[in-house]
Amino acid sequence: MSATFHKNPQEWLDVLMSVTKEFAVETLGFGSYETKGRKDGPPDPGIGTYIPLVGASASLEMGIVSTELGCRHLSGALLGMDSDESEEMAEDDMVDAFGEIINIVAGVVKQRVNEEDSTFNLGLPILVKGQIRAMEHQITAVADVVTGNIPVQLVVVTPRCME
Amino acid sequence: MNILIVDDSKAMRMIVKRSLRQVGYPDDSMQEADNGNDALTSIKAAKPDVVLCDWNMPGMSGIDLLKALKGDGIDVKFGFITSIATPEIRQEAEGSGALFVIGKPFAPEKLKEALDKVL
Repeated sequence: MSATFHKNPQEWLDVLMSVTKEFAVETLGFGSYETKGRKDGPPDPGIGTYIPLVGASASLEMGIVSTELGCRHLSGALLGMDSDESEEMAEDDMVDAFGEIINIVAGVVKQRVNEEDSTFNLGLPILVKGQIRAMEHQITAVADVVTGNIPVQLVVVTPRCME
Repeated sequence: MNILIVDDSKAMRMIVKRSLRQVGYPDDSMQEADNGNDALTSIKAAKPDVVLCDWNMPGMSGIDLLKALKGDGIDVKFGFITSIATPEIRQEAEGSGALFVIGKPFAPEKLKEALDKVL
């Protein structure tokens, strides 16, 4: 591991955005992917799936947030379903598939930074309904994205000391 | 042919099954387990031709399952399908007896290529 390896939240968000774009286009098969903006601050209320990434150089959570319909369409795309099938998917299946999306994306993020720090471990995905709020010692970075007409927010939560 | 798919995610098991179908494996060749302990029991009861296993699972992880099999003297063809296919993971997997490591996301052809080499 490089002793100088450091990424601030926006740099982690850059990696997450890059990986998610590839995943949305190449794996989920969406024909479009557009970044609408980015900010420091909490994501909008919605359904989010988050996964921890913890290593020697950093500790963070990465997440993907969308509307319920958006989550269903993203999850359905992963499972090869059409729109109607996605909207009728059982909630447990949607939660499971949405978690698998962040698991796959975070795994590729880990591979992207592996040369700089190979100690990162992925946790297990959790689903959050509503709005997350950063604690006093944390900072969030958010990117607004639209892929396949689905509004998505990509989220990085890090300790403030990584700012 | 008997392929055991081990993953805590139903979605991922569905994706692996769909990929296997796409490269010519029939549905009746596929069995599933959603955790390492059930997989261990299943493998002991009916030795599959190959195990396709996730790495990161709650409870018994994929690598723990592989080590438990080796510890019990059970020799079964074993490969990982994981989102964390780094060189370190590949080294640990192969050092523990895994025959291949496939990174997620993967194309069905990648799965076929790995299986063709070991079956």
